[in-house]
Amino acid sequence: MHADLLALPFRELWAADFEFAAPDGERPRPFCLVARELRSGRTVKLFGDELTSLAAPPYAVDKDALFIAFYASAEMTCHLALGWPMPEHVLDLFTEYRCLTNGHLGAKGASLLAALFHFGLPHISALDKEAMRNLAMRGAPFSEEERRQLLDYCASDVDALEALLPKMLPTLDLLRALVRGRFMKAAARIEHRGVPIDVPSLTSLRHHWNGIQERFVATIGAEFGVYEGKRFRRDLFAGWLAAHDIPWPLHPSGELKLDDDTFGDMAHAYPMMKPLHQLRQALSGMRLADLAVGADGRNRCLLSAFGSVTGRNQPSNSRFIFGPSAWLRSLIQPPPGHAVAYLDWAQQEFAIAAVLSGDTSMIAAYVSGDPYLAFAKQAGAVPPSATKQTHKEVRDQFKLCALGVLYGMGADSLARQIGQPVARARELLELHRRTYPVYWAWSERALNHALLCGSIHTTFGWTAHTALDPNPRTYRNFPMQANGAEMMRLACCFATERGFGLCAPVHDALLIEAPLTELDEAIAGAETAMRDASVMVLSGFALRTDAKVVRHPDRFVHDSPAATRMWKLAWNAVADLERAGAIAPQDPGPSRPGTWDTASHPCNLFSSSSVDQIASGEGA
Amino acid sequence: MRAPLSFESPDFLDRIRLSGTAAGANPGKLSASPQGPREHYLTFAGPFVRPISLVWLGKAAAVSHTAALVGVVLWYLAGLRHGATVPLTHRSLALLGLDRHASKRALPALERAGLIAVERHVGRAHLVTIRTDTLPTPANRTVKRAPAQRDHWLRHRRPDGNHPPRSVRTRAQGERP
Repeated sequence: MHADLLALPFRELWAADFEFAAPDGERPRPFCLVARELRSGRTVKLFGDELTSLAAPPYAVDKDALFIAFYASAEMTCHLALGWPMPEHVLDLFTEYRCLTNGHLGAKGASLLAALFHFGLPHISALDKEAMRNLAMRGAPFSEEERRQLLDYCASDVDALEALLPKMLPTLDLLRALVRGRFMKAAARIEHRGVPIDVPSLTSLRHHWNGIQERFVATIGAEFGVYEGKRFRRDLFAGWLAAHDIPWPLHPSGELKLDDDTFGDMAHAYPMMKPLHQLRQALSGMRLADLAVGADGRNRCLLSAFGSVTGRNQPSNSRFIFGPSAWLRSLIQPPPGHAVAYLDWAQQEFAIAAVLSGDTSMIAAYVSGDPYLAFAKQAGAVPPSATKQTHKEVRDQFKLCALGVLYGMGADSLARQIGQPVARARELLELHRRTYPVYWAWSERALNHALLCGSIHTTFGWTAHTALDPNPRTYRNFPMQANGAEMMRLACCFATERGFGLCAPVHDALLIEAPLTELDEAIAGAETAMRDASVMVLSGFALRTDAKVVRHPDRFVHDSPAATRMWKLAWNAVADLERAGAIAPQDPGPSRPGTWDTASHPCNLFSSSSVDQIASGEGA
Repeated sequence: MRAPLSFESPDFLDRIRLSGTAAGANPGKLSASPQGPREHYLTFAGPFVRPISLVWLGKAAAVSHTAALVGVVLWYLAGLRHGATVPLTHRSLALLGLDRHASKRALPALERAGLIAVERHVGRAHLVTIRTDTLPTPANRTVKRAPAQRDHWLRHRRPDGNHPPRSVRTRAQGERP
């Protein structure tokens, strides 16, 4: 017995692994479990009915026991699928390995095999593991031989956990590791619930997707005259830019930059280009078939917790409903008798920068309620009596500057964002430096810390190690992004543990679901959870939250007019295609009727007055 | 006195929050882990680089310019860690354009000058402690001046041994203002 294991302050240490089948969008169906108590060596092996007939886990889950797993949210979704209580304390060696190697991972990834390799421990081959994983995903029925193989494979993963734990303990920060393990329980609850999707609409869009794309090109593409069929023509686009006198970023070779980020930036600066940006997104690799929707009409996919360097979730863009273009979010529709609420922290990153840097001017700007206008006033660019209405253009410039600075944006990029000369962008950045000198000194310290010490961390210990070829902007931005991620994780923990129906975390927002009769209570509860999380991360400073409520039969609507237009264009195309004799979808989905009544037709985005905007909470 | 930290404490989260990323927070020891001193988080709160002793830097510059640059890196790291002992990595040295050969030459020289103590390791960074105990204390500190300037001052010294005010020094001895 390793001495460090004996020192862990728990009565029992259970390392466990499940094997399960999980078709796209469905909850997992566990069929195999191996668990071992690491101090006594007692091992439990269960397969099939032996496992599914149990009403409670065959190991302790109380506060004196520690549950150890690799990627624990998978094990926790199995607990939920089996109706078992979750362990009180979870130690996820995946999150800890990510934290240990974050920034240095490279191509090896953060799999169990990679972790074993990293610590020089023996492991099965990747090919064998893949073969067994495919067998598990295939699901029952299994032959006796397959059953034995799966049990052996599951036991080998538990052996790996047993070998890995002592290797990781010397660098493990147990207290904060348990907080990360706590989030994996919340992630499991979120994945278990899923996001309600209007399945008939999705089926229809999938069925007519080619026709819809053609309609987009015929309508939006024709407005710009830069498409030939579905093909984007660079020369036509260059001509269009010249005709509209729009300066466009170029590659060193002189070619137009046409990546999605550049298009996004330019669409921001020149809103007339937003439809073209949406069109390019709709035509480039958007595969509606990949959206993972289960038989119960819920979008479920792996949240990929701690997937990014900043610790934010990184769910698949094609499988998660918030991944593809913004207009497709209108597929989110609460079921009858229910509502969804989209709650987001107001100016989260600005507030984190203000509070952590201790810049009192910046804090005052946040507390004013409109930090961007306050910044313009503090910099002396607008009179104290200025409002959002009287000085909209200046406010927009200061807003983009204030947000861009948090990302380490330079004058060239800012000039593109605000659609102004580089000299104006330089002037804005200089005003920011003069107005918020404490923030800049802190930001400089954060960067120097990362470069000199080789790592930078959040208030709850999520660490990024400096890359060999560091990008200064990454480390300037890390405190805002990574502490924002900590805040989101804590809010998810608080909201799910308090019993609120959390469907999905989305960057700096939570999507919750509740029956109409309990809606107000659920919104208030979720807002309290978000407020508590901000207080916890920012040492007592509470962030404001905004809420957007959508009641059945209405659907989620993205704020952008371009997104609304795309949605309506798509449904006009569907209607025309069906009128023209195209075959209507035969399978509207099991959970919804195949036809729409007037109120619930997808085109009726604003059919009722049940979309509310609520702003709540107090700054500081 | 605060209660021992337990997972069940209502203020558990509050107490394991690291203060290193917040300005004005108390640096130093951040929290206790049941496994002992596993803390490896460094703060970047508060003044980033504490004032460098000019006497120390002057002595380092007298050793060599490279030694002075290594000294700046050492004080910088010490400011980050809020302690006098720091691991000196090649990465840190590279920030001032120094390579490992520079540190190989400068560290023994600084050590001989009594400005640092080095705990050498193979395969990992040397631990360097900045020594200020060898510097003269304020009571017996003498700052040497260039001879010409000292002579000039001596010429204008008053009979009581003190220097006249600067405005007076420009006048010839005995001349009325």
